[in-house]
Amino acid sequence: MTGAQSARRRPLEKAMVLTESTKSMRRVRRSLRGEIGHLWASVFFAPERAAPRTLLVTASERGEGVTQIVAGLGIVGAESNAELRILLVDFNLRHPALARVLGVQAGAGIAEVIRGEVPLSEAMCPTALSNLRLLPAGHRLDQPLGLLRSQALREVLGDLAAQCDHVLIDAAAANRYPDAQTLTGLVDGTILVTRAGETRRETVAEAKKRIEQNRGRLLGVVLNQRRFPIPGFIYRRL
Amino acid sequence: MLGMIFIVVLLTGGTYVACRKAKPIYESSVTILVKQPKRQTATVQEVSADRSLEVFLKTQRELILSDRVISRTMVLLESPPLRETWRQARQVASAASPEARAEALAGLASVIKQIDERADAIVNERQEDLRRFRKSVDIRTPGGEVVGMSEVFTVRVRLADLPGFKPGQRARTAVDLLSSCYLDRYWEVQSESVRDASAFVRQRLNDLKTGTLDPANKALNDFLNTKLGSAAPTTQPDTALIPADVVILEQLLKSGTEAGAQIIRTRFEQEKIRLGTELAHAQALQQQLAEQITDEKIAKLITKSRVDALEARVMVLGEPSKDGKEKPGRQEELAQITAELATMTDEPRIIVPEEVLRNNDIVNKMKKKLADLIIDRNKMQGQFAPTYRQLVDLYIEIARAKLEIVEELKAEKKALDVKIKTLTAQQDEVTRELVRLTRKLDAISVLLPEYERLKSDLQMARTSYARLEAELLQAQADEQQARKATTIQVVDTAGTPDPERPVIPWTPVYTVIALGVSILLALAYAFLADHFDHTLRNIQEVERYLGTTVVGSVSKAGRRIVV
Repeated sequence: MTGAQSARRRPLEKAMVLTESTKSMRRVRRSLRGEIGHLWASVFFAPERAAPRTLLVTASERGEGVTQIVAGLGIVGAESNAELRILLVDFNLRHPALARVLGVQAGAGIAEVIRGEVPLSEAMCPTALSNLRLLPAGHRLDQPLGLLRSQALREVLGDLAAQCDHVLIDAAAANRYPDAQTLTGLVDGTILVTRAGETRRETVAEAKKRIEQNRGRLLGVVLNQRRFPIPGFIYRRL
Repeated sequence: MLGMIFIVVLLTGGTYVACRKAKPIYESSVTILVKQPKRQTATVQEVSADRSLEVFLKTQRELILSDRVISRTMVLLESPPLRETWRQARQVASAASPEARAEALAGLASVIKQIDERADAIVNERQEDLRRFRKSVDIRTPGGEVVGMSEVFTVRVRLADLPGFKPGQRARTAVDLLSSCYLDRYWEVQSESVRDASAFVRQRLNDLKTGTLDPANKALNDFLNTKLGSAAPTTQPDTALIPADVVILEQLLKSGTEAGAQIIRTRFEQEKIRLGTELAHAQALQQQLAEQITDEKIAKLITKSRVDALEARVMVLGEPSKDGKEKPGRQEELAQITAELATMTDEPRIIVPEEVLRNNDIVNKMKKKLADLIIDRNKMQGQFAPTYRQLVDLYIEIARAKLEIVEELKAEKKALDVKIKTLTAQQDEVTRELVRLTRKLDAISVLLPEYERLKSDLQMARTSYARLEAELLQAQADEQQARKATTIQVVDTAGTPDPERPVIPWTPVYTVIALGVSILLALAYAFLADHFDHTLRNIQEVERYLGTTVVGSVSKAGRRIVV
């Protein structure tokens, strides 16, 4: 699938408004940051378990907003604490989008790193935030399956975890591709993003089953693009 | 939510638009008043007033919806020139002076004939149109189907417009024409039916009289004339039938042939038996008398002259002598007389029959007197000498009484003889009569079946004649009734319907109904959609269906924004 096709199907990059700063936009961004902050807190500050060093973010189907959540978590986490070294990994080898979302020019990525073509330090790209780095997907692969099964993947993940405080991995849809399924056993925790009012519960349940079958640790579900029955502008006046 | 709004708007708007686009149907009506005259004839079997009105109104309904009226209306509605001609003819007819009336009516009739030709074509070839038009006509009585007291009914027509009519005008014209056609037809039917009924009954009455009643009468008379009377050939003069014997025929007819003959015969036989009994009785009595008054007994009796002589002698002997001395031999003589009389006192004994005592008063008295005398004598016999004067007188009395009784009995016997003779004669007469009657009865019995048949024919003819007469009376009464027939008036002229407000479609109401229905449908849709919606919409649902905690939720922003 080419980039042009991807753009037509999901005009994600158009929406990457980081600079626009109208009043309503500021309010929206503030509320979004609040929500993602909550998410960060409940994932990493949960008292009953240790904070996951490597976190896999996936979804049951495409288009549920995994990339958004990963980017949001990265930005919010990096801003919240300048000491934290956060790495975002785009493991969505088929439809990589994280680099575009963050406005980073991506070159070689994790695919090349695993195959040993490029060293890890070269592949990692800096972002606007100093303590937030990105490991892009790299060039498109025809057989990602081979990568998943390789021992190199384990080693790379171990290296990444050693270099950073938090590694957030953006993986492809769990019900479509085996990536997330495989990865979930290699990371400390997995969260499942679902689009509220869009994804069917059966689909989500299937994804959950896949994760748990591979001894993955499902930390929870994120309800993305959630709407309320009463529109906000009315709700605020009540 | 959007789906619900979509449903409501689509249905309501669609209905409204459809109402706007639909071909409007207009309604127009006329009210017709019925005034029935009071029925006065007693011969008419009176249905109750309400009932008759109801029946009448039902008939009118039939009449209005009849093929003829409907098809005529259709013809007039479809052809404006014919309508104009017809309208003018009607006007002329109704406005015509009495002299010109016949001509005007003839003109109208010719127009109607013209209409009828085309109406017949409609009836024969366009049944479907006819049916549709009839369906658009509605006849209503205030108070619904049970008319009862109502004397008013409304004729309504609902029609869509066609080219050539202003909006709403077609319905109005149709109802106008329909009421006019109906009134015309009503008068036609009315006059036809009444005239027919009366004439028909009269004709039948006439037929019956000449065809059945008169022949039956004549046949009976002829029969009686030929069989009873001088014309009849007869061998035995005394058993010839005479016209008066019709009485016997009647009697036989009444009680049935066999029984009737028996009754008549029995009466005569009873008479005969009665006479026989009486005769026997008289003969027995006569016999008794004859036994008592035999010649022998009469011979024993001292004759009357002798008693007179003895009495005279006793008188002489009784006279006192001149010298006061008693005549010699007087006592002896007296004793002799007494003895002679005494024989008669006891002998001969005459027993008077009870029957005679009962019937003959004189004999009865005599008998009692004699008994008294004998008692007196018995008393004196003991006390006095047989020559005692009074005793002698008593003997004389007794003798006389006895003689008298005998005389009476003789007379009685003679009377009985006469009676017996009479009775015998009567008995003979009755016997003869009986024989004659038996023969006559036989002769009449032969005639009876024929007579009976003729008679019943006549009776039947008379009955049906009487019935028809009653019918004629009824028909005439009806005719009378029809002359002052029910008045039917169109109370109001048909109004032109408002072109903006057709009966169908009734836009505001239909739209409101559509709104209501669509809201219900939308609600139903909402519930269904919710039921079949398996998406996860909130945290509770996630926890309920997946059993997983929700680590966070991100609201939908208006646009895709990366924080």
